[in-house]
Amino acid sequence: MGQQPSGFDKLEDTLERRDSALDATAFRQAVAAGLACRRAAGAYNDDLASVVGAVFGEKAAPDESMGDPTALSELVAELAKSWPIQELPFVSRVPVFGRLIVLVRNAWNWMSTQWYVRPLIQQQVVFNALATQTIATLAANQMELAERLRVAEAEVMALRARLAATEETSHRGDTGVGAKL
Amino acid sequence: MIVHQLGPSLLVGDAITYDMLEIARRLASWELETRLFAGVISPDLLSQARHEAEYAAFMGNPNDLLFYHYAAYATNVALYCRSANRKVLVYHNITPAAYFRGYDVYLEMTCRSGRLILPSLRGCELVLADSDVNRAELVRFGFPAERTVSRPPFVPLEALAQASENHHLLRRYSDGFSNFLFVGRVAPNKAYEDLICIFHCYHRHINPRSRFFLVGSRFLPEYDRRLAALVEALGLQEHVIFTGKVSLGDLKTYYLLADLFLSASRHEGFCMPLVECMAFDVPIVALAAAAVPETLGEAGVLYHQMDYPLVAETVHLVLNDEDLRQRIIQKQQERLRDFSPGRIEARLREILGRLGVL
Repeated sequence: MGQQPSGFDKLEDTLERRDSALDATAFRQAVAAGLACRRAAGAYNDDLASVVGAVFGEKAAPDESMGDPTALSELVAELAKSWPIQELPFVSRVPVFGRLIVLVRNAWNWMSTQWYVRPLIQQQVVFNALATQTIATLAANQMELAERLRVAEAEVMALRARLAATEETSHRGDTGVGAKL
Repeated sequence: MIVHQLGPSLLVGDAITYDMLEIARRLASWELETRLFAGVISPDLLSQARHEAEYAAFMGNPNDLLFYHYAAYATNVALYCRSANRKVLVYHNITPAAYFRGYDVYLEMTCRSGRLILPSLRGCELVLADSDVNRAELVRFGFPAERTVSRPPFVPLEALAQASENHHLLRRYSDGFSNFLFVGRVAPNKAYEDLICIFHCYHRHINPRSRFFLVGSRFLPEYDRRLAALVEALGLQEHVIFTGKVSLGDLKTYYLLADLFLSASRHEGFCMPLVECMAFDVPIVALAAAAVPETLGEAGVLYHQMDYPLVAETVHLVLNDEDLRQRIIQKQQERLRDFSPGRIEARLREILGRLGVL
C-alpha cells in the first residue's frame, strides 16, 4: 500500500462501505486521491455553507422538547394571527362588465350563504377565538411557571452550595476540637 | 372475529396505504374477515374502505382485532383508545416536529402532538414497528420491549414492475448524462438543500453532463421557495429537476433512468425508496441516519458527515468504478430478498400466529 493521501484519516470516520468483502482502505484511498487532486487544481473553493445560510438561515438541530418558551410564543403568535376567518372579496378583471359581474356575484354569495353558511362560520369564529384565548392563557401560565421553576432551581443550587460549605466548616471545626482533645 | 385496520388516510401512492391494502389482501387470502377504515379515502379506494366513523359500530367487540396505523396525531386516535377490540399498534414513525417549524404550523403540531401522546397508546397487545429504530423509540417511550416487534412494511415492488414506463421520459433523458435520483416528499427532514449542494460539487467540479431528479410531492410552499432560490443561486436550474408527485409508471421510469440514488435524509422510519432502488439495480449512497443503515443492511455506501466535496467524490467513484458498482448492486440484490413480499407475508403470518389468530 502506498502513501495515503491527505484527509484519509477523516474518511475513516466519514465513509462506510457496508460490504465487508470489499477493500475499504482502497475505496477510501481512491476517494481521498480524487478529492486531493481536484482541490490542488483549485476546485471546491465555493462557500456553500454561506449560500445555504443566506437562503435558509441558521439551521437549528431538531429538538423534540416541549419546554421551549420561544417556540411556544411563536406558535401562540401564529395562532393569534390566523384565528379569524377572512372572507375573500370577489374581483373580476373582465373589462366593461367586470363591475356588473362583481355586483351579481356578491349578491349571489350573500343570498346563498346568509342563512346557512354564515351562521356556521360565526360558530367557527367564536370557537377559534375562545380556543386561541384559552391556549394563549395556558401558554402564558406555562411560561410563567417555567420561569419560576428556573428561579427556584437556581435558589436550590445556591442553597445546596451554602449547605455544603457550612457542612465543610462544621466538619473542620469537629476535627479541630478532636485534635485538641 | 373480524380484523379491522384503521389508518390516517387511504390515498393512492401513499406508503402506509399500500401497507394497509397488502395486509388486508393477505388477511383475506387466509380467510379472515377484514375491514379497512380511514379519515380520508381517495375516490379510487372508496370501494375497499369505509370512513373511520363507521368503525365505532365494531369497536365494542372484544373478540375483534384492530390494527391501528400511526404516523402522526390523527383525530381517530380517540377511536383506538376507546376501542374494546384486541389492539395492535402499527408504528410507522413520526417526523420530528421541529423540521416543520417555520414551514407548516399544522404539520408541526400534528407531529409534536403525535409523539407527545405516544405513551398513552400503550394499551395494546402488540406493537409492530417498521424497523428496529422505530421499535427502540417505542421502548424509550415506555412500551414493554417484549410486546414490540419489527416488521418491514410491504413495498410495492410488484406494482412497480408491472407499471408501464414513460417512453417519452426515457427517450428524453437517455442522453449520456449521469442521472442522480432521490425519491421522497419534499420536506426539510430529507435535507434537499444538502442534496443540491452535493450535486453542485459534482456537477461543477467533476461532471457537468449530469442532472438530478428529485421525485416527490411538494406541500410546503416556503420550503419549495427556498430550494428554488438555492438552485438559482448555484445556477442549477437546468440540471436539478423537481418532478412533484408522479405516477407509478413515471416513478419506474426515473428508477430506470437513474445511475445513482443519493440520500441526505436525516430522519426515516424505514425508507421505502431504498428498497425500490435495490429492485432496479440503482447503487445507493446515503447519509447514515435514523433507519437508513438498518434498511440497507450490508448494501450501499454510507457517509457519516455532511462534507459536500467528499460525498461528490464518493459518488464519482461509485459511478465510474464498474467493479465497485457491480459489487454494490450485487449486495443490494442480496438485501432485497429480505423485503420480498413472501418474506414480509411470512412475518405477518408469524405475528398473527403469536396473537393466536392463525
